[in-house]
Amino acid sequence: MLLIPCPWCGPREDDEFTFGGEADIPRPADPDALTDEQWADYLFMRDNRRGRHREQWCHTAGCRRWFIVERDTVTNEILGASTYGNSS
Amino acid sequence: MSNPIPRRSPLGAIEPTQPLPHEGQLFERPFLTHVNLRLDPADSEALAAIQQVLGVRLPLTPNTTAAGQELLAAWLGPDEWLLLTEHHHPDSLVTDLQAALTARFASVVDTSAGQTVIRLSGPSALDVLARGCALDLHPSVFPPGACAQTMLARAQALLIAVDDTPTFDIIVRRSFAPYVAAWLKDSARDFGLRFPDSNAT
Amino acid sequence: MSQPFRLTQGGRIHRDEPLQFTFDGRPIDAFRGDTVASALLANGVTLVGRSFKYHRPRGIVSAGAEDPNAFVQLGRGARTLPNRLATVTPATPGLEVRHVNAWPSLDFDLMSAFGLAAPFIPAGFYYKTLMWPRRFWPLYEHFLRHAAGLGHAPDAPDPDRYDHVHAHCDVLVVGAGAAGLAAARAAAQTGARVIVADEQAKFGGGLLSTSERVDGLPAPQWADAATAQLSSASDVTLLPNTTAFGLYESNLVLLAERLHTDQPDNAGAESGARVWRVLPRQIVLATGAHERPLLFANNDRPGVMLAGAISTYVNRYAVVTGSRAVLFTNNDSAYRTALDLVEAEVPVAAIADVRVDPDGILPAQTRAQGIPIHTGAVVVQAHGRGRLAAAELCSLDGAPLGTVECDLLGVSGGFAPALHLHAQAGAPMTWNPQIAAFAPQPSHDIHPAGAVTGQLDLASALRQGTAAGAAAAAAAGCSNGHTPAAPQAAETPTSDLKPYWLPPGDLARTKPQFVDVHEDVTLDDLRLSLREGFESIEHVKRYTTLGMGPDQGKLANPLATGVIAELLGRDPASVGTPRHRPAYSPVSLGAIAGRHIGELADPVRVTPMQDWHESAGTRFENVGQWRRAWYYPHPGESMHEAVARECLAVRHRVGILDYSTLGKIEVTGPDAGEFLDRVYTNAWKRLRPGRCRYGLMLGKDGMIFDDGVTARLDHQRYLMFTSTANAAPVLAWLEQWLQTEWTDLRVYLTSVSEHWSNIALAGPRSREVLAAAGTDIPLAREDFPFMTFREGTVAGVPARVFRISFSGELSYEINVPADRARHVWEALFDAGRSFGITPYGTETMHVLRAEKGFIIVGQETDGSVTPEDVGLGRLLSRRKDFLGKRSLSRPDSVRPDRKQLVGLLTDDPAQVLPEGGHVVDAPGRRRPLPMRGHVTSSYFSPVLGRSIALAMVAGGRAALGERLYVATLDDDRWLPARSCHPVFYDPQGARQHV
Repeated sequence: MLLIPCPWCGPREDDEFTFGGEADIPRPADPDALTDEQWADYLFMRDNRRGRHREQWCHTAGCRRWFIVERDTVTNEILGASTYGNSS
Repeated sequence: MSNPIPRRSPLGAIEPTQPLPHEGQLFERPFLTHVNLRLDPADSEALAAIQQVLGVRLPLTPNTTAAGQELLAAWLGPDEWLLLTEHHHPDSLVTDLQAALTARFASVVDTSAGQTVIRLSGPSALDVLARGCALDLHPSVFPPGACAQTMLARAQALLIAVDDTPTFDIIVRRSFAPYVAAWLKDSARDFGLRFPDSNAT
Repeated sequence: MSQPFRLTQGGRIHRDEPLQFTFDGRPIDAFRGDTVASALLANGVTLVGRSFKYHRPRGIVSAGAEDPNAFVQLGRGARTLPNRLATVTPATPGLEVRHVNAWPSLDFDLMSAFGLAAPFIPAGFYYKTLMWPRRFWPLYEHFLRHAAGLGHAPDAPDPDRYDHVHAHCDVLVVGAGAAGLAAARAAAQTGARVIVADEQAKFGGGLLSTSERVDGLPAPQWADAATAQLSSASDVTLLPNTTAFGLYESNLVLLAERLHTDQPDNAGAESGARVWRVLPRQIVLATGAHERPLLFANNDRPGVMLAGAISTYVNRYAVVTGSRAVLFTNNDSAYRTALDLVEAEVPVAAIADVRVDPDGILPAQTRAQGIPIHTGAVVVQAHGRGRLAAAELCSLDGAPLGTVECDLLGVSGGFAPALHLHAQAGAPMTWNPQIAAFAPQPSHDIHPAGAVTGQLDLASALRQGTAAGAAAAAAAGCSNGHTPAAPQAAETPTSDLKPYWLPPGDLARTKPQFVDVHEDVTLDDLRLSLREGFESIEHVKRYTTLGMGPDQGKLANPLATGVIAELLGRDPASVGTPRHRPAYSPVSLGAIAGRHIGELADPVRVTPMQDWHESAGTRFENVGQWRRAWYYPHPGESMHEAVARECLAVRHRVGILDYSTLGKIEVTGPDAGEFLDRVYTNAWKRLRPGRCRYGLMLGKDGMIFDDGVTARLDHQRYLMFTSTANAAPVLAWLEQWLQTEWTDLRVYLTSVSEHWSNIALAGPRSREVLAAAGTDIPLAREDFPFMTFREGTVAGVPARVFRISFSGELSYEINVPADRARHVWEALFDAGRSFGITPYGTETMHVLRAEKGFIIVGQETDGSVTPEDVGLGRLLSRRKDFLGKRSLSRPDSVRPDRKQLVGLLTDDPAQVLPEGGHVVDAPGRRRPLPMRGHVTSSYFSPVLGRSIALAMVAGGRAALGERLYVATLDDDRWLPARSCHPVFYDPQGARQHV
């Protein structure tokens, strides 16, 4: 069980959350300007990092906010959580 | 506006209801007005307009409620609240709020028929909830006035700590209400609590 | 029975409360305070089971959870419990205890012939031998299953109550021995919320079996006083009979509490269990240490016990476990056992001490008792059949020292910390050469104390416990400024342990020497594993099954580390230990399920019309958690007949469907139209208020994710319908875009799925029914055309009525608040009687939409289907971007041989194709046949009087009319069909526009 620190609601058990995959992969502003390879890279290729990993979570059963968690994929230690936008 | 068609609660209550069995420790509070409100918490004019209508300042601290004479506002998210009252008809509350928020970016949605409130009260309430709720509801952590959306057994629920009896209001979606009621009855059985017979389920 | 091995006085048993239980039907006298094991030993029962592989006789080895042999079956009938340890099970009146692993009986074991015929089956034997020839495997398996019985499951539903409870505390103390009690006291006096769990029925652990004193009191009395003091504290929860069996990420600790509720028919066994899910801020681990066994030939003979266990039985239970003892040790602790035996008047014939010059206080005291001590000496073989009769001694250089008669052999290879929970948490541990074992290192939230640290003496345990309790409370934010004084006990200087793993020289070749007694893993098995290249301890484990028994190798693994290190000539620290995994001890499946059984197994979601459906005799189908009306059979009607009747009623008259489960989302804000433009493939901004439009939602990969109708309620408000199954995923998906990428869009989403019930009226008479039910909405075609909606009242209830159709007929979907939906449903039904209104369920809905070629997301689509694939390319806007658009021009998305939606008409109109059936070009014997596609939907269409099917067929659209075949699974036939346009009925769509 992971205790996930929702930036608004505080630490909650992981069954309240939905995982949203690796963070920081914005949708390209002009998809048509990309080659097929570049677009496929956006769609499918992920770092699958060993160690510190920034990932998206949604507090589905709580405040319904999406936020970013930094987690060590080896130890499952959660190193921090941050909101989207300009609030901390 | 009065409505001639009697409402039915998801747990079998039919309008007009009998007076609530206040001596009970586990019962439904049917037919309250539930309104979902969304607006930007940085929009101070909107906040002020809302306070004018509700007589309550919307709580901006996560997982807290604000209670007024006639209405309770519960924090659901940084830009989302549940308004809960037995004193306003849903249509009039929605109309008043929409009027107050004209030309502002906000959303006012009646959800009264989509959810219900189950009240659990008594010295064993914490033990009953601990059977299916992972939150620490100890009064030092979750005092009266606190609220939290979380999982109760296998259903999503909004818990509101009402008083230090302790008493909790458990707000669940309509289709989950029979499951949650059955779960609470089963959990409460160990502590000698039961739903009053007026609730059919 | 007279309990011949019970001492006349002493012990922590209640001699004034005698009781009786049975072992294999034989009455056993006991006292309250006994465990099943202590009572069996008091009665001279030394054989409690047969070993897993060789069916060798086995006896009780320990007095705790580490025992590899004392697994028994408790209770009977529906309440029986397999694999319970006699060493931790309290003796209760009437308890039925049975052995678990002998066939046909414990005393006459047919399977021991297995041991005689093939004395030592090498590790890997099953894999290497019994798998070949493969056709014999079922025979082997039958034989092995019979041989390897580890108890039996109840044969009827378990009537007991199992439960889960969530708990939170500042400090969780695991283990209530000296260190645990001291820690709990120290933490509790700060006002911290404390939970203390111990696997035994009585708190005290080793304090209950030592003759030492604490704060001037006999240790057991001090334990009682400390327990009483804790139980009176307000925020302290004491959990006896409770095993902490798992420690997970975030320091979630799972405890299994065995409940004793004295059910009349549970034959004295525990009834029910409760799993505690504890989230402590800090953890004190006071889990103690397990004494390590030693290797010698026949070291599994009943009568060979851990030395400390012998002391426990004497001191705590007033039971002597033999009449003449030999002790074999590499440390000081066995000398305490020698002194305890002398006190209990059991002669100690010899002590073999690996060490050349043991110089502690305890050896000196023992020597003073006149007990023969052989230093630099070891036991190399146990003699006796069925029960130990003698021990053969030898010096470390191999010189024989004679054979000593004995029926009790106490062994002590030192103590290995019980660091299982610590290791499960992934917390660091290090090799401690002083104890020749791994010991836990403290972390910021786990505080080891007592024997688990490797410090074995009582005074240290009390000191460490006090310090750990205070430190844990402080770290949890609870402190009252002063650290309490530690309880005092006499210091006992000890001499060092000398690691001893393998017998000297060729004596290490004597057979058999058991490393894992439960799994019958021998020293030879370890050698074979290493010889075959399986050197990592994890590989050794898998090759030999070391530590894989229900005892989880508590005794075996610490021994194996040293043995493997010596066989490989490596440092034990580098050999490591097999990964510790939950559960520490067996936990019943009932406890894991808790109350999530029967009607509480999973939420059953119902609509406001549920009661009506039930009284109408509806058959239901489960759609996710929803219970939906499937079809409404009349008495005597088959499903086929009922569905045909319902279909024709909608086509010719009018039907009524409960469609309340659809997802509904209000989309509000100045940018709502722009938002819909981005998430749907078609254009929305110019949709006029009051109008509806069908939309397709794609994933980023261009594949269909969801579909449904969205209506524009007013300038800034839309109402979006989603499919039932995707209600929550669509909302999460939309919120993700708004919150993480399109934060500039001013749009709010609110789910109204549960507020609005949805009742569909469908069929040529539906307009008349709606009018008859009473509505203030003008219903004439020109007032209320297709793909519009109106607000008004229906049957006196405020309603939104949508003129949309999933059947291809004139149809109204009537949304009303769920709290009055039942009234509206009944009003519509009553108004429809004279029009022949017929309730229909999801099956008919599926047939009707298939006749129209309408897709269902998740049935025609499977996450790999584009809009073009299902013929909906017209919904793809060319003027704007939308999610998934770029993916539609990827080379794979425009392959001409993609599977495309077609209809299939069988040659035999009565033949209904199997859904999922493979579509091929021609029948053939060669396998695999090239597959063209698969059938996605298939029904008998009553209005067409023939079967219809939808299929996804590679390149199918360009070849409509082609001959295809569909394979059947059951009788290997090939059903001929021709492909066709997927709209079977009313292809012009005239009927829904009337």
